[in-house]
Amino acid sequence: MQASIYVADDEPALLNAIVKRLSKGQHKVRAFKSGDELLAAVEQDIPDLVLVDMKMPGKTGIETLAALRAKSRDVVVILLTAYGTVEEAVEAMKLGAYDFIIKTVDLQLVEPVVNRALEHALRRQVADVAKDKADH
Amino acid sequence: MYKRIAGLFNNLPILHKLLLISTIPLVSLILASVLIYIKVQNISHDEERLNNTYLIQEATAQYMKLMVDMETGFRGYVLTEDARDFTPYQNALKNLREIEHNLEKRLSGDQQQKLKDAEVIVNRFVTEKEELVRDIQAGRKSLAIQYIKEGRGRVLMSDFRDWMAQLEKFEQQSASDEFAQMSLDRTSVLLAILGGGLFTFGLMIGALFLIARSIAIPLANLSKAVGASTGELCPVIPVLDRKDEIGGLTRVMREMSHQVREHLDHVVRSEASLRILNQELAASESRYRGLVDHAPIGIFMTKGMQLTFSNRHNQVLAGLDPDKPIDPVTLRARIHSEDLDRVTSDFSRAVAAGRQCEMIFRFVHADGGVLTILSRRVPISGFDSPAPIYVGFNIDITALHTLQLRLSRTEKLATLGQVAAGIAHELRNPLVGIGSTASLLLDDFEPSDPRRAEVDVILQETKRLDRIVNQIVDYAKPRGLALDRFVLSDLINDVIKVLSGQLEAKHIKIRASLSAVDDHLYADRDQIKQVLINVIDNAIDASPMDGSVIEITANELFHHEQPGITMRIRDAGKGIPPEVLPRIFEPFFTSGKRHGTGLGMAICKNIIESHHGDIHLTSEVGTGTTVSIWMPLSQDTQLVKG
Repeated sequence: MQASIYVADDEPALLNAIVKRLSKGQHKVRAFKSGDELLAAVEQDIPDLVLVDMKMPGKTGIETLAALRAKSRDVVVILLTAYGTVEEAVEAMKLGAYDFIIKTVDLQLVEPVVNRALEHALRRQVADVAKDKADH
Repeated sequence: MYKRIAGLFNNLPILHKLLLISTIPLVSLILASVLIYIKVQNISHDEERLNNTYLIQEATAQYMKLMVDMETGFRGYVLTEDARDFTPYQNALKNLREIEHNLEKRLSGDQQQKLKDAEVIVNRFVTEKEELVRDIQAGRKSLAIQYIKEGRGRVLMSDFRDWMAQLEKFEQQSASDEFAQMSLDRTSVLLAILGGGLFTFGLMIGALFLIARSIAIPLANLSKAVGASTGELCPVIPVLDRKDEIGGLTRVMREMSHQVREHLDHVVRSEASLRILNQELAASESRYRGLVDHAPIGIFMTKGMQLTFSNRHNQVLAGLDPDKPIDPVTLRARIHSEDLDRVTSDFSRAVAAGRQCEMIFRFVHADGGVLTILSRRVPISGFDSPAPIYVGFNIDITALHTLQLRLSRTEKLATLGQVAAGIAHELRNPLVGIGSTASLLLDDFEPSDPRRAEVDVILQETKRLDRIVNQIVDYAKPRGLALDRFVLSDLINDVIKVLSGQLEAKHIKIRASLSAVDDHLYADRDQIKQVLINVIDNAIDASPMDGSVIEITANELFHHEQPGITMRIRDAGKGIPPEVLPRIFEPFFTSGKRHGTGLGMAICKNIIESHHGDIHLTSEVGTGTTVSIWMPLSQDTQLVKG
């Protein structure tokens, strides 16, 4: 399935790598250099999934997550975190993030986690639709 | 009456009593003497009268004889008519007159009257003779012869003799009376002597009795009262109601006894309070001694430079038997040879100046153990001593000293770690950039593309760099402990599983003997696991590929008086050279391990120390290395290490 994914990271090389890797999976991926830029784009169009780096200039990953939650309850958020700051990511999950990805050199974990999250979102949409129908 | 007299007598002063008492027999003696004198006078009077009677008798006899002489003389004259023969008559007459005169004087009234009668006879006797003499001279001798023949003179003499007999009879009676009187007087003298003596004796007895009653008996009673109360140190003295010295004495003694009793009571009270004070003092001293003896610091005293006292702990600090007496020489010998001169000179300077001093030195024990001691010596005043008295305190600061060293090392490492972590963070992002890009690139190549291997090298090296960076971050990150109780043998089994691949590859066996100990540890399981993985991984690395054995043992062991477990991981590897051994725990120190970062052992040390444990290595080249890890059984305080 093709999903709309927004990625925010202040590190261009990493951002590029993630975008390219996810684009290969036919996802529609947009890259942002900061949380603020990502939030501005969300004003126009709400994506299916958002990948946010924890540590960025301007809004941090947590702040961006909070702002996203204020706009949409449905958008799936995955946090990107460096090795050694896992505790913060776990904390973020308590605030509504779906999962976190430790940024490893080969980014091998990105695709599986994203795919699993999308499946999860889909299942939830289907359940919601079924529920809506049942309600009507 | 008697009592009144006795009372009056008792009230007299003793001197007056004695004078009075001695006067009584004296007076009676004088009286007796007077009486005897009178009696003796009577006797002498009687004697005199008796004598007089004798004299009278004698005189009358003489008188009679003279009359005879006169008669005889007259007759002779008558016969011879010679005038010379008349001289005896004349002499006798003359004597007769003298005696007559004498008798007149001696005789009393009645007798004198009788004497006159005798004189009449005598005068007739004489007158007749003288008339006859004149007749003879006138030549009428016949008359005289007639006279003689008739014996007229003899008749007169006979008359006189009758008179004399009467007088004699009277005088005899008188003498007899005198004798009777004298006898009576003698008897009365004897009676006076005897009676006076007895009376005086009685009076003296009475006087002595009075003295005894008045002086001696009260004194004896007093002494009995004082002596009788053996049980009581100070008896009650009975006061005599008298005004003399004895009464005064009893009052004084009673007052004295009262005062003595009061003083005794005071002394007893003082003794009691002294006893209490002594007890308190003893208790205080015992407390003080207990305090000093059991104080966990060394306490000692010196007189000048000379050690005079050392408490138990000070002996212990010096590594000496606290139960043995202090030996200043042995104690001094325990001071580290490098410190001894400095300690001596510093202290002697302080003693000379009379000021306190503080120094740090080391005690070396017989077993080679070294204790670092902070010693403070303070002069104390209040002692009468020519040399100043110092009280000294020795505190074992070995742990503090070690901690300080460790802390400074830790601070150094922490600073290093923070710098390294900052660099690592900065490095990570570009590393991830390189790696992820290389990874993407790798995906773009066909599997047969020869450039693929080169890109793979980029990726692998990036991964290695990433691992180093991650370890630096791991080393430097704040280490909170997630404490839990777990079984050590289970953990070791987990570690063996993790490392099973490496173990099998080198045919190495692990022999763990932990059964003897209660191997429950209270620690952060993951962190201890990390340590064990690291240490055993190193052991595997050092072991030859010949199927050697890595031995793991765990024993209960007290360390710094704290219960804990010591784990020993011993390999039979090549060993570590002695010059390298001290640097093993330094960060980034590597002994040329194939994939080492030089941080493994440093991280292990961090973890163990954050558990208040201890890790050290012993190694012998060619024989193997033993890593010893001591962990306390409990974690009283959580130390968060940066």
